[in-house]
Amino acid sequence: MDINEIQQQLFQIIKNKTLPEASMPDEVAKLLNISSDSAYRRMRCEKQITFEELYVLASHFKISLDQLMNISTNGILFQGNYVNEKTYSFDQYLTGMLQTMAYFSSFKNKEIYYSCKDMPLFNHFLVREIAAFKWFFWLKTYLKFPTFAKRKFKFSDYPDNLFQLDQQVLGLYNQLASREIWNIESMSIVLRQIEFYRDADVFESDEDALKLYEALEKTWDHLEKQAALGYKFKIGDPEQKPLGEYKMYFNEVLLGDNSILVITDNMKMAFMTHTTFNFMMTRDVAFTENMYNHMQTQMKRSTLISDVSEKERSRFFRIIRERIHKRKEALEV
Amino acid sequence: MADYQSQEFLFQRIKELLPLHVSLVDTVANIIHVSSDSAYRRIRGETPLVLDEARELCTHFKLSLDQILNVQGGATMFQNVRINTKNYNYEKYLTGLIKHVEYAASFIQKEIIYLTKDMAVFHNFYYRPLTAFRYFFWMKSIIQDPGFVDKEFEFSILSEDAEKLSRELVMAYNKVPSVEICNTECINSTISQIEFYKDSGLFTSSKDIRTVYESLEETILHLKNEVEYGAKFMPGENPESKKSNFLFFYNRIILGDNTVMVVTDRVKTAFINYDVLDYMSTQDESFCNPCYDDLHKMMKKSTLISQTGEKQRNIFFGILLNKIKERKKHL
Repeated sequence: MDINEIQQQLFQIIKNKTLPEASMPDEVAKLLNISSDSAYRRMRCEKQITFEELYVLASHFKISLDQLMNISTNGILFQGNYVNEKTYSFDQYLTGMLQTMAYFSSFKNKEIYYSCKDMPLFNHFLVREIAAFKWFFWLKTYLKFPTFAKRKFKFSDYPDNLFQLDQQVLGLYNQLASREIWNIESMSIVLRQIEFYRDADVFESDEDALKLYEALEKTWDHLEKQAALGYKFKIGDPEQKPLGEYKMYFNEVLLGDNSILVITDNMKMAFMTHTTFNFMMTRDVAFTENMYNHMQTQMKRSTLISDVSEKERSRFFRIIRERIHKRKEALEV
Repeated sequence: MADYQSQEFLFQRIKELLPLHVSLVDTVANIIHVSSDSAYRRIRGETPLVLDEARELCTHFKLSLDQILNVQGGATMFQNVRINTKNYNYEKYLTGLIKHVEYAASFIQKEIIYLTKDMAVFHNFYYRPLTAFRYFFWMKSIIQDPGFVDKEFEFSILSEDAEKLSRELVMAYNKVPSVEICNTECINSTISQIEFYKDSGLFTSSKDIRTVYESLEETILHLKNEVEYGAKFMPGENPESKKSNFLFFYNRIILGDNTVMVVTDRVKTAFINYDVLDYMSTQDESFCNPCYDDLHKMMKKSTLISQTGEKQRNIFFGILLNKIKERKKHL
């Protein structure tokens, strides 16, 4: 494409983005601080626009210069947000997650792959005590929200509206088929965090730590049942009505990085965790294909412990259960 | 942005990409086919760039205008480095890492902040047996090089080139001031990989397994020594002669994700590690600034054990060394 064509295309895009009642030459003239005549000359490609002028127009009308000028950068575009006290609250973080899950659900075929460094995020929402603890931990210790600075942890502080959002997210997640690649260390950090709060006197008493370990045991029992059955079901459902398919892999070699790959009817989306907590997403084809291949390789290297391989499954769940039990024993309750 | 500021941004970014000995004026003149004088006028903002010239420059340097000028808000552009493609091998990967570190070293002010999940990649390369094992594991299990499919581990598998580059990488890293935020899970992956290869019969003798564990042990002891001095040096070098350029934090609360932030005079660059060896980088301020703040929050929550905190340092390294000792007992 030659430069005249680029210029023509630019003004075509601007025309499409200009409201019908507005005059495009006037708007361009105003933005570039030139006369309407000069704007016309540029629109008719009688005068080449400069790089500065291109920048002013593109940023005003939100036009991708890389696409317009056909610049190949080998780059990958990610989108994401960062939780903070002022512009992106935890409610918004959960609401964003809910919208994303609802979007996945709208497809006929959908599957979610999770490379676990920690327990998958959604599983924190199974039992209210764990959801409350993680919320408090993230805001106080990880994000250092000033309003949490001097607070001690209390289960009752967890707002109902957040737990409702958790349940909505979990409800949608349960509908999806999922494959999770676990490592024996994937539960270590949550245990470490409970210990840390105990040492730092953030709990009112050891009773709180005990309650959390019991909640973890409850979560762990549920995950084991899901793994044995090969499908997800609502926690506490006596009928264990089957929801999405559940495949759990035990990887003894690599600890994952909490990256998530979602495969829908016609595309793949990759979610990368960075600085532990925030997510960013891309649909870049080469990137998502590469992640897909990497996950496939990791699954081949792992043992499928859902539905089949009872012995390995029992061993995996037993090791973690013993770790929780050991911590419980050490409490002064 | 007023006047020719976006033009200035573009040239600034190009300047950052050029090695120090290469002239910006000559390079620009060459790419857009103008005289040095004309190039100079454009760089100084006296002559406006036209679209053709901007496009030539961006295409040549593979620069994203959207990223440089932040045209589309809310999105971050990353440059991707992936090792397991056909025309990109391990040696090139190491060379790329060396270039990144040397580039950072060329600035007056520089710092590397490393939030580790595993031990920082540089520490794998002090001693040959561990370097050889890591190389073998990555080639066989991660890159899945066809030449490694039926191979068993032997120390001679590490090529001279790969060994030389690995050492060059550590030496380059040692010159740049750095901060590492680490927890005691950082050697678990290495240990489980040794165990996995042991169980899978990929070692030819138990002597080899012991040698790899001993090498890991030596590595941890060397790292402990570096942390104690707050300086980075190669085994055998005199730590007294090294600058104090190493801060090491013991983090008990989260396991990092191998995020690396390189801060130089002008810019912050975030490197995000994925799929074990691959990484991608960005200089987008809307991404790098919050990421930088998060890393500082992590430091505040962690215990500084370099040059200070002897008791905590002994606890930290004691835990790591015990993990290795336990495994050695079972050989």
